[in-house]
Amino acid sequence: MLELRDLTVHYGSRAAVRDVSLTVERGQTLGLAGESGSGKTTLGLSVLRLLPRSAELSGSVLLDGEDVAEMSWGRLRAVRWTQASVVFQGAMHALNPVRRVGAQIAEPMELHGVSGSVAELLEQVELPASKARAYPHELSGGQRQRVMIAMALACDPRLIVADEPTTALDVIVQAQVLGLMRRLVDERSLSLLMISHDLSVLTSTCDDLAVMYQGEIVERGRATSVISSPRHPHTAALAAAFPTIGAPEFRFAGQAPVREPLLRTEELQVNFGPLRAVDGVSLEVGRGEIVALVGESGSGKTTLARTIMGLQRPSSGRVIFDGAPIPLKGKALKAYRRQVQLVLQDPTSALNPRHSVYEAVAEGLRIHAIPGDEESLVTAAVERSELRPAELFLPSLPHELSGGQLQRVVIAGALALGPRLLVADEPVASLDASVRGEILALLLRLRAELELAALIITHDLGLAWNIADRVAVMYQGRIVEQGTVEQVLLDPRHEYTRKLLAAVPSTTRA
Amino acid sequence: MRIAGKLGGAVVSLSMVVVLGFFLFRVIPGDPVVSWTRGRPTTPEMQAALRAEWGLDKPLPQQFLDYLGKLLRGDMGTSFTYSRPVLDVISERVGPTLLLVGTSTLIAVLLGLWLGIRGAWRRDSRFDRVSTGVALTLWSTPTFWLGMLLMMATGDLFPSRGMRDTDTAPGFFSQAVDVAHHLVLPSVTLIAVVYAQYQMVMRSSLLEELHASYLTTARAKGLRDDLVRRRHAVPNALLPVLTLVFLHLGLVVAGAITTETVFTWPGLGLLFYEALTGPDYALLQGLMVVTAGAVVVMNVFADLLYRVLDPRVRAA
Repeated sequence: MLELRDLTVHYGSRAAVRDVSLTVERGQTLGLAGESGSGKTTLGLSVLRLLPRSAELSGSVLLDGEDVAEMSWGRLRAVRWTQASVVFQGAMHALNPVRRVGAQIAEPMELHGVSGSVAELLEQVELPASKARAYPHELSGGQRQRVMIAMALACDPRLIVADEPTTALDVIVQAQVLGLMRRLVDERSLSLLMISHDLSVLTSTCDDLAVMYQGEIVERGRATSVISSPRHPHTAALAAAFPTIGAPEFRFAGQAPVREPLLRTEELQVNFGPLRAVDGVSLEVGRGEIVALVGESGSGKTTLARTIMGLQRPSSGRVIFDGAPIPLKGKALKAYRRQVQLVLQDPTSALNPRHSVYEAVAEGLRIHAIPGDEESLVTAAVERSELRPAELFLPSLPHELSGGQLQRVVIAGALALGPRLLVADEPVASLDASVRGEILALLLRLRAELELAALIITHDLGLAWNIADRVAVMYQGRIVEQGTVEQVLLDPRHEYTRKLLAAVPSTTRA
Repeated sequence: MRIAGKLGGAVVSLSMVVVLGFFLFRVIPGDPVVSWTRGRPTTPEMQAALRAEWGLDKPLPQQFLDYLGKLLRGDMGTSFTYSRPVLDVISERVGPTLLLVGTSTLIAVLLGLWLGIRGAWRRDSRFDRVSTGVALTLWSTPTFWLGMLLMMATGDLFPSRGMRDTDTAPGFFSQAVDVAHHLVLPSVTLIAVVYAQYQMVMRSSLLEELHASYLTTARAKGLRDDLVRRRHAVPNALLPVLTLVFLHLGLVVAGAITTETVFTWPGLGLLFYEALTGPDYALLQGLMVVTAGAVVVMNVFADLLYRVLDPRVRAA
């Protein structure tokens, strides 16, 4: 169906894809794994010759025996979407925000003169026909992804290229979307090339697996055997980022001693109008304890974190820090915030692109007017977050650093203020597999050395298994279950926790 | 609900303009009585009489209250220079201004958007570089200087003063041709000076959209390049540009002071200029209210239009 022969793609002098040969047979499902920058998206785009103008392509891309690279523009346009279609990453931006989704699904059918009905397509992806009149922003992430899939099926292609089709979806929604794709691929005996950084997603959907690293395919084989006995070290690193819950080799945190409480919320409630975002939450974080707050988007976990940080006033209830209720305004609140620092998901947007590492770390010191030599404080914080030697990094600007290094800068900025609690919102979600482990190790070391406690907000149960001492599961504004990691993840009591755990795609289940 | 809020906001802005207009013009140097009687033999009694006639002998708060009271009854007062109701003087001048500035703005918008779209779509092409360069050069050219340059360059080809000749035959057609003839130079000047901003904003807005992944989706579907642009890229990129366009449409009523003055075009811009030299307080206040009113109304209109065009704003 699809055959790549010695495909090489250059952006200027940099080769994004190097000498890749790959085939996808009729009806075959192939997963292409790799971290950001590995060239997997470039490879996916080259199937329909969708690369930007700056890209230079050599080798051949045979789609049903015909070389895409050699086609005339007219022929190429005719082939696009009729022979192969694409399900893009992050359906929010892949859909035109000002056009109704029905019109967008119908567009390729009109264009290629294919008969069919939008309602039927929507039914196939288990959406009501009335959604055709919706605009993208009126749909949830899962629904938008379903619209993308319906759109990909519109002209009945033989091959579907899916680029990170479930990234940024909640686990349960992700499981539903993957199930849907699997079913449609089977029913229509489609060929599927699925691209993802997430090995567990690929193994739960695809029969075969190829691993891409620095523009080359480093490993290829049946999904099960690639996972169980990876031959290339990079495959092993990728697999490690998607831990098997319950497996001791993925548990990095040791047995936690009982600790005296540092932060406690008492029947905390936050209302936005009639909406109860946080509904009677009582949560505890001990000194030097790592607590994972798990829940899907919209469960209220971010609001809870904001309230704990003193950025949002509770409607009722209170937050106790170190034995005293947190101040609600003025200097006292500022002093409190110094002790509780925030680490955000995406370090590239959390840092000002025009501020050097030194400026980024020193800013907090200046705001809080911390006494002492600024330069030595900054250096110490940067060294603490393991950017060594610090002098090398201090003058750097964010764009000169890698994702992992940037996240260390963010952590250094927090550490500079000598906090006692880190609130980390998906601290590794936007990092590559190989960096993820390092950042988690850093958090554990900081805990050991500084008795730094952390409240980690995540939808990633694997992350909780990796480093948390205790887990709290949040659902519709309430903590439905909390306890030690082993209790909650291995012996879940609440219905919702069970559902969450069942939806985690596992590399071992495939 | 939100619309009511917008309208309320518009009323507040207008009231502030009324207050500001009243005091602002009284701060600028110049005594209307002195400048009006300059060069004429007048006695202090005559000056005092004039002052009383214009209401300038009363204390400032009293003057303001009088002004407000009349304004609420729809009376903008009497122009010092024309000795006629301000409203009459202004309404005579609205037509010519709408003709000149309206036509020019419309053409400038269309030209700017078209150039901006073409330039962004073929970024850094020769077309893009040349058109951007030309636009920026024209934008930074002083209006009066460009106007005079055009007058000299075209010689007697186009009239350079006023809106119509006195000796033109009275029929509608010949009158229209005459006005159009007079319109050429001032409108070309005006278009040349303002179209760049539409081009620049449209260009950067479209450049931003070009990275959007829904364009890749559209291409993957097999759409022709121009369809991708027309159907997907431009409608999205146009949204932020609209706000700017409507803000400027509001300013149309204010006229183009420099252009109208250079070409003695009998519009509101020229009237503004004349009133300032007085200063003719009553006329200035009236002009301020009318022009600010137009901006405020257009702004509300832009807001409403935006809600129609962007489904995301509609929902919010």
